[in-house]
Parts: sequence; structure tokens; C-alpha cells
Amino acid sequence: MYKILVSDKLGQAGLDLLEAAADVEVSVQTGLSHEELVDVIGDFHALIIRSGTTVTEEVLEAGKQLRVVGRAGVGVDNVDIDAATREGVIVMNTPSANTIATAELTMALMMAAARNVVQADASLRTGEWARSSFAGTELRGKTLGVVGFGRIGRAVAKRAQAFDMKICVFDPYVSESVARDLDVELMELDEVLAASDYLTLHAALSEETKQLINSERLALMKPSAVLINVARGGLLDEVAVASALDSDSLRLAAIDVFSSEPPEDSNPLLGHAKVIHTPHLGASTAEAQRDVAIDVVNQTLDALHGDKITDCVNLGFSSSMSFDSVAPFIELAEKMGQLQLAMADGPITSVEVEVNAEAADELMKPVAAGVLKGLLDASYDGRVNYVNAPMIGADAGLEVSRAEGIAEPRNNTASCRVTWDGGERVISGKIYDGSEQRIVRISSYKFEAEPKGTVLLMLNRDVPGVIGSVGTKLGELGINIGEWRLGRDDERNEALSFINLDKAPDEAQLAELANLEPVVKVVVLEL
Amino acid sequence: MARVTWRSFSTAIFDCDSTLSEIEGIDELARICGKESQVAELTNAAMDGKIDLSEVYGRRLELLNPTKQQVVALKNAYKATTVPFARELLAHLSRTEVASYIVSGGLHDAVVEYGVWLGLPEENIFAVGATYDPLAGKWWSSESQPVYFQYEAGSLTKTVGKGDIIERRIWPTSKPRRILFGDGSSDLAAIDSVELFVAVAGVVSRDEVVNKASVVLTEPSLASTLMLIHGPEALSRDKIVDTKLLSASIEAVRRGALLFNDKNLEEKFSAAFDKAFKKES
Repeated sequence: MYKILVSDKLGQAGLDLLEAAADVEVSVQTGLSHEELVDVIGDFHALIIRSGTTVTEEVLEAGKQLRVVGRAGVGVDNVDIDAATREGVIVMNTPSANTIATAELTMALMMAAARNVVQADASLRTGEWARSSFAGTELRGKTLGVVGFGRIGRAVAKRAQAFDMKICVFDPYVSESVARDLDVELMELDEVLAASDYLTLHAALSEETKQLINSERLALMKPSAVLINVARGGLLDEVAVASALDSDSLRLAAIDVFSSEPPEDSNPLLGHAKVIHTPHLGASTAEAQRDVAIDVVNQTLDALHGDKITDCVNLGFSSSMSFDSVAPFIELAEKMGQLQLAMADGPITSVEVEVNAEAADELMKPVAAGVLKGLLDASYDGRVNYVNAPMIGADAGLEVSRAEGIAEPRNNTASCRVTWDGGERVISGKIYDGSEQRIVRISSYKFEAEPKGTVLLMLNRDVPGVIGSVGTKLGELGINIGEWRLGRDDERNEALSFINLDKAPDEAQLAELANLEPVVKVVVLEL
Repeated sequence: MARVTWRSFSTAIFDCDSTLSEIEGIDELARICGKESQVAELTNAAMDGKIDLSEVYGRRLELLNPTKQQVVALKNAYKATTVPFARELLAHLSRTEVASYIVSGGLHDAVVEYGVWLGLPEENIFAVGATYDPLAGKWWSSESQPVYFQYEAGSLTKTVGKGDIIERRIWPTSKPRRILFGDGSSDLAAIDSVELFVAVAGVVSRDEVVNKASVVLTEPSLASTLMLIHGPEALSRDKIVDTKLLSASIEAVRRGALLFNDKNLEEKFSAAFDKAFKKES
């Protein structure tokens, strides 16, 4: 039974899904203070939030059972991601559900700005009929600058193109071919600022983008330009924007988000004559609210059940690959890590990872995380998962790097080389048919072994009769053999056996095996 | 019927650095990474033919260790320093079914992106592939950047390798009469793989390259090369010509943008040019 806390208002469609889930107990407690949240969080396996709940390090540490934080919406600046990563808590958001709602509000604000809709409405309400004061301009032929060209930025561009606007884009992660396909021009930020008649922000708030639009950048903009922000208040230096408006170096700002919300009375943009503003309505459509609630609940349940992880912000994996195609590699990598740990002759100091597959670059991080989990889990009482393994590894001084050429470049293989004082070992695994895991190499020994259940690894001198004597001994001990895979090293005249057993021998039994004449070394482990 | 004295080309191959763009990519990358002086020395030695390119290639990249974002900054630097009429020329060539290619010893991610922006299909752009290490730095945080890891050594990282690419990758699918534009000794080394090599000396002039080329472009603008590629006769008849580009081309040829070391070629070209574009005076 999973206990899930919903601490912000969540759409009914999502609550219905939670109620319908068989193994879930839901508690809806909105409006908790930080202290109250710290008090109650210890009972829960998952926390579902929107922007109202702040998930601090204290909350995450108090959440001893907590495995997932699901954010209905996009921005996760209300969650301490580093602390979540350290605690092994998966943080997920729902980036796709808000897209259209946010893009449409951007268009609404842009058109309202072009035609003075807000100001004209206010004037008419006072009884004025001031047609000449509110003559507007057309969007046609104007340049729209889009800062951040993800889902929302692209949706805005597509809509603006229908209004015959020219689109220029700043986004360091977008390729020229995407730009060409979508008929937009990629430029540097400063060029976009200088070219734009309308500038709209669609970037996430991070250290890189905090106060991205400051006084120096505002100075590059046309005095006739309109600035639109429906992304995050922190992207703007609000004081600088207000003073640009005051000094007529910016025509108008259309603002849906503020650096703190609700904005303090002292916020210079609040009520400013050259600002039109809305109270963070970007995602506030019936459709988006329904979709974010459904998405966040499905993702949270999937993650709790271990089925799949979607839109996780702290796994460091590429979102371009489906979890189903990554999962077999992570699991295989974890087993390779366990094997490495079992066979190493000293404390491991460095790990190198190589992936040979079509999506090698995207698989590198998952494989490294898997290997690290396999190496570390036993020393940390099973507290290690794919989310915190890299951070725990780094804290433990375990260096991980990419390698090339440590194994034969067979397709769909992952290899890792670990080094300890005085030695190293390479282990390779291969994925068949997208999901079948095999260990294909340990040091110089090659075989095709299934890394599953109880495994006995045995290094022996390559002389006749070994399989017989070991098999007989296991028989005497009442241990059934499932599979026996043997790899030979002709140069060293030794063989390594990878034996799947039905049950594990105890220590005394293992010692009996180790005492057999041709046996050099035996190790048993559970995969 | 008028006798054609200048045959047009169906395939135009361009170097990137100091040809399509006014910068040397690796030097610019060095500037972006803040290590310009060490790298410039190595580059110049390679381009002047003093050391083989394959020797310095790895050393320069190891020194720079660029992140992917720095390579994107390089692409933007290429775009910002595009030589006059490069985009217009390539657009015109594509409209008139001249196949254009870029063959560059620059970094794939920057050169290909730049070439796509110039209007070329991705498959017509050859540059040096580099792999990145996604496990560098704080790799588990979504904000960390992969850094350069290893380049793919091959034809383009050798001084004599461009000809290999042209013969193995461009010949099989391109139509004959191929013209190559470039400024460096690695471009000159491909002289036998094309029908005509034009030394581009308008950005950087290298004596060795200029002296051995049949034709030399003496200014950064590529406008005059339109005349070389299509030939004056074809251009004067062409009804879909970009008039701004064409008049720039005529003007450039008149002011001596093209210098012929091969007098026989010069005669043919001048005759064709004078006939097609008689001065109205």
C-alpha cells in the first residue's frame, strides 16, 4: 500500500485516478505550513504538488519513506532538486500538459498589447469614448523574439507565424535543422533582443537564466518593443523592467508571473501604467488543469510501481529516449556493478563506462548510474537508487568517466572497467531483443550468461574433470544447478565459470567448494 | 552560334574556415575557451604546411576541451562572420541545381550546423566528428554540459585528406566539372581531385596556396565566384538569377576580385565575360 500526500489543489480527474488505484491511500491536505508538512511527510511514499508547496531540504529529510515528488505543472523551482537527488527522491513534472494553455495566453497578451485591449476597456468603463487614444498596430510583419524554444516556445512560434510574424529564436540547445524546419531564425540572445518587436520568454528558471532580462539586456531592445513573460518571474529584473518602461525605452510589458507570488505591494510592475498583467494564469485552462492532474498521477503511480519513469528532472537522463528502451541497460549495468564489487580485490577507486549502441550518448548516464548503484548499494544499506547513486558515488570519491575501446564494439553492449589499487577488471553485458540481459565478458573470459538469481562465479585451473568434481560437490550439498557457462583463457590456462544456482551455498559449503583441488577462487552473489 | 569559352561547373565544394566564414574555427573556439595564444601557434604551423594537420588536431582539442555549448558559440561565430554573398551564392546554386558541398577540417557540430544555416543539406557537409563525454563534471545534474572527449581521426584531420573525401564521398553522387574553393594547404592538397581549384586569399593569404592555384580570389566576398561557377554566358542568359548577386558578381570581376595564374584560363574567362557583359559606355 502506497501512501500519497496531495498538498496543493489538484484537478478532480487526477484525484479520481488516485481514488481508483488499487494499492494507494490518498490524503489531501492543502494549505499546510512548512512545519506541518515536515511533521506529516514521514508517512508518505509520494508527494503531489503544484506551485504552492515548497519542498525544502528539511521536508525531504523528514520524508524517510518518500520516493517521488510529482509536480502538476512545469516549474520545479519550489523543490530543492539537489537535496531530492541526494535523498534519492525522484522529482517529476508534467511539461507537456501546459503547452497549449501557456502558448495561447502568450498570444492573448501579445494581441491585447498590440490593440490596447486592456487600457481601452478600462477607459470605456469610466465613460470615455477615446477612439483615437487607443489606435493600435498590427502583428503582421513584426518580429517576435522567442527566448527558449522548447514545447511552449515552438507552440507560440507556430501561432505567431499564422499572424505573419517573423520569428527569431534564442536557445543554445536547438539545432539549425530544427530552426530551418520550423522556419525560424536562430540568433544569439543580444541579436534577438535587438531585432524583436515583441519578446516572449519561455525558458526554465535556473542559475543560468535568473534575471536573464536585466538592465543591460533591456537597453538592447527597441523602445517600441513589448516584453511578454508567462514563464517565470525570476527571469526578469523587475526593477529594471519598470525603469525601462518609465524612461520610454520599452513600450509595454505583459506579465503573467512575478518574482514572488502573489507579488508584494512594492513590486514595481504591479499596477504600472505600462504593464498589463494577469495573476499567473498561464496554465489555467480547464483542459490543462485536467491534463496536468492526470499526467502527474499516472507518472507518480508508474514511478512508485517501478514501471517507468517519465519527465524526471533529477535523473539526468535524456528525455528523448523512452524509459522502456533505457531500463534494460540500467538493470544490466547495475548487475555488472554488483559483479565488479563481488570480484574486486580491493577498494574500487575509479569506474569507466563504454556503451556501444545506436543511442550510446543517451545511454551513457543511465548505464553509469546503474553501475554505481550496483557498486554502492551494499555499502549504504540499500539506500542507493538510480537518482542518488551518482551523487553518493561522487561524495565517496568514486570517479566515473567515459571510455572508448575497453571492449569489442558489439552492438547493444555496455562495458565497465573498475580499477582498484593494484588491479582492474572489465565486465561487458549485452541486451538482446531490446530486453534480454546477458553478461558476455568478465576480464578475458567470454560467455553468454544470464545475470539472474543466485550466481556462483568460480575461477579454476583449466584441467579435465572440473565440471564433474564441482557438479558432484554441489550435488552432495543438495544445490541444484540451473545453467553453467564457461569461459576459457588459453594463455593463463584458467577458466571462469558463471553458474546459476537454485539456492545459495552457505559459508561452510562455499569453503568446501573453494577447497576443491583445481578451484582458484569462488564468489557467490544474488543478482 | 556563339562559341562557349567558359564551361560551367555542376559541383561546388567549399572549405569552411576563412572561406565561407572569416574566422578559423579552432582559433575562435580557443578564444571562446580563453586559450587563444597556445592554439593559434599550432594552427598556423599546420595551415602553412610546416607540420601535418593530423599531429596538431588532437593536441589542439585536448588543450581546449570544449563543452557542447562552447561549440554552439562557435557555430554562432561562424554565422556572424559569414563572408559577403556566401548565403546568397549557395541559395542561387541550389536553385540552379549546382550541388554545393562543404569539406572542412572543423568540428562537425559547429560546421554542419553552420552549413545547414547557410542552406546546404546536412549530407553535403563533411567535417570532423567529435564525441563528447556525458559523464564529465556534475553529470547527474541536468544543467551540466558534456565536454569534448575524442575526435574521429580520419581523412579530414590529415593535411592530405580532403581529396579522399572528395573522391570517395562526393564523386560517386555528383556531376562532373567540380570546383573547389579553399584557403589552406589541406585544400591545395586536393587540387587533383577537382577540375578547378580556386585559392581563397581574401581572408587569409597563404603564399604556398596562392602560387599553386590556377585562380585566386582576392577578396572575402564570394560574389565573383558565381561567374566562375556558372560561367558568364550561362549567367547572362539565366532568367531566374538573383539580380543583386549578379550585379555584385559583375562588379567584383571588374574590380579584379579574380586573379588568374593560368593565363590560358584567364583568356577564356575574360573573353566570355567581356562578351556577355559588355560595358555600356
